[in-house]
Amino acid sequence: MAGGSPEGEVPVALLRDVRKTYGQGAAAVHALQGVDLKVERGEFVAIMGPSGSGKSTLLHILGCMDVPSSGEVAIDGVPVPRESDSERTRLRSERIGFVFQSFHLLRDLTVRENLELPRIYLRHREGKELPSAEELIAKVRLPKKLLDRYPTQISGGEAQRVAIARALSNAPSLLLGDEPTGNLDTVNSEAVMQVFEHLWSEGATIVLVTHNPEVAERAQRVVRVGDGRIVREEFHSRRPPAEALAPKEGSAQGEGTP
Amino acid sequence: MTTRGGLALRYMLRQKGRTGFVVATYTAAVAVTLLLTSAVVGNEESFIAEVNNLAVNWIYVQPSVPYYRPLTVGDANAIAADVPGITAVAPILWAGGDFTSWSGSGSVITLTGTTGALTSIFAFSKVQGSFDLAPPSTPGAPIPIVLGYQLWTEHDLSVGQTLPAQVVNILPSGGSRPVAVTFVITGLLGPRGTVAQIDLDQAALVPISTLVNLTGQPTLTYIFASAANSGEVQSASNAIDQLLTARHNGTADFSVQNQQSEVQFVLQQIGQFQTIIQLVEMTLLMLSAFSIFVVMTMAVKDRRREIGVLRALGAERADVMVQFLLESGLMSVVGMGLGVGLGTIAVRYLKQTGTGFYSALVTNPIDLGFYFVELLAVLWFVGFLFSLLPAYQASRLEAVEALREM
Ligand SMILES: Nc1ncnc2c1ncn2[C@@H]1O[C@H](COP(=O)(O)OP(=O)(O)O)[C@@H](O)[C@H]1O
Ligand SMILES: [Mg+2]
Repeated sequence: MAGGSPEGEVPVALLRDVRKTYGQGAAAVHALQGVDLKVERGEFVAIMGPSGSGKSTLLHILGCMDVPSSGEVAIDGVPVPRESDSERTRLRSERIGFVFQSFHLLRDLTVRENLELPRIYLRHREGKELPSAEELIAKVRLPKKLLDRYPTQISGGEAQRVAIARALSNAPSLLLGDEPTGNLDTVNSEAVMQVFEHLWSEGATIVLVTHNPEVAERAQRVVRVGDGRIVREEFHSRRPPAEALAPKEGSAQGEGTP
Repeated sequence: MTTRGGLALRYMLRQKGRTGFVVATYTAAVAVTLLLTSAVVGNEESFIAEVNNLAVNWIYVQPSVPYYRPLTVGDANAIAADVPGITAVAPILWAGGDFTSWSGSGSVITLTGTTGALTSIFAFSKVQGSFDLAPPSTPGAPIPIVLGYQLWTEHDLSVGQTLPAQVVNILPSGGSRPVAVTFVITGLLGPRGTVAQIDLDQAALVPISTLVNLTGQPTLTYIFASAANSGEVQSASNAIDQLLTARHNGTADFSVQNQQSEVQFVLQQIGQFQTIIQLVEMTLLMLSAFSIFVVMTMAVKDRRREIGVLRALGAERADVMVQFLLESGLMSVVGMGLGVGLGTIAVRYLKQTGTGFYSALVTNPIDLGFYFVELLAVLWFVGFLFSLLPAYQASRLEAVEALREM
């Protein structure tokens, strides 16, 4: 990924005929039944679909948290091994940022410590310049004074933005969110979506699972999933703001202008 | 900077009750062990010193029932005359409420009625004077007395000095009959220490026949003897046993001991004490292991979601395992630290306030040596072993499973 190739050459994520089956025999659940998906660098993709259609399963496989029963997955052109949990974890640690519906901040750690947490496990930085806690909190448009608070001392909207900042602390190639606005009211959802848009404008590659059409509206591409298959793709004419379109040298993520 | 240790510490502080439980069991285990170990080590040293202080050829006859006095001067004479291999016999009339008070010093001391043979049986060094303890030739003449090292040095006494005194004989009725006497110091003994729980440096030896007359008590407290060499101790002990049984019309109202049986007795006592300690230690060890196992298992159950978060954020299985081991290790180390502190305070307090057994306690844990370090290591290691399973279970959790939103 070093070399800062413009979009098109090596996709950030590539899924080929991915299938996932839970359980066996009569009880088997075919959560994914042959999914092909390519996510280019700098893309903002929304995944929509009814409950139980396999959206989370797909996102987990994209995020190297789960392995497909069959099919190929590559992140930044690196094939995701099915056998080695620790290799997959390393890929996740180095290249993936994950945001959850219920934030999942560690309540015993301050915001700053939560932001630094992924660094403990980051073994190879691949020469990446990693953002400081101050830079991260600025990226999600929160004041620095929040850094010394505990998760119980901030609002849900703020917590989700901290969670996004935490997902950025390893300067990931791919930022994933599973219903990131699912637990938020309209005002906070809007704030969180503005953060995602801002990050996209800075060059981030984003895949969000959502069932909120207003959230999907903001994406460049909407992938509709039904019954473990991609049933339809919609391309919006939306583009990230022009100021941020030019890819930055040495980093697809971009350093950004807070 | 966020660290694994910092995270472990936060979790410890969050679960105050559980952490307290583990820390308390470790503290108790270490404090109790420290106390027992310092008692064993301290007393073992003084026991062994006492046993080593015994002459190897030493034989000792005592009543088999306390306060009952079946032994006589005649028995002592018979042993000297009839038992082969015996080189010296000393009858002893001792303590039992026979005191003297010295005008001038005001000291109350215990008189030991015996013969000159005692100084050789106990291998005293002789500083000055004569030590045969011959009774005074004329009634009313000063009574010869030989003094132990501490007695004469403490009171600044010398050979030839006379000591006006009162021998207080406690009567069976409970009253007392003081008899005024004068002692003349004939010999001064060198330092000897404690032998068979008798402080020989406090000895005040007087002729046996004189003390029998003064107290009106014809029977003895003990008979001490020594064999020609250590090889004859056992056969001489057996011979004394047979002789006295015959003289006492077949009743074994006495027992014959020697240095070897005394060593065995002391070692047996130490062994029993150590067995008890080992049992206590084992119990505490099990308790500590149990507490850490239960607490860590509960922690893993409660923290499924957080484990999932760590995994999602890039923690490998090994990282999760290390995280939990670190936490249990930290708890046990804190508990052990507190235990050493608390145990040391308890030992110091007991040593300061207590006597005898307690005064031999070892106050500095470092002086307990390798045994105690080994024990701490074992305690820590057992805690480590018992947190392996919960930590392993934590590491086997699938992130996706742990984080499933319901
Ligand atoms: N661990 C699992 N074991 C069994 N079935 C599962 C498991 N995870 C998901 N499923 C099933 O797979 C299907 C897809 O689930 P999911 O990806 O969570 O859907 P979505 O996120 O779109 O609601 C559902 O039918 C769900 O019940
Ligand atoms: Mg879902």
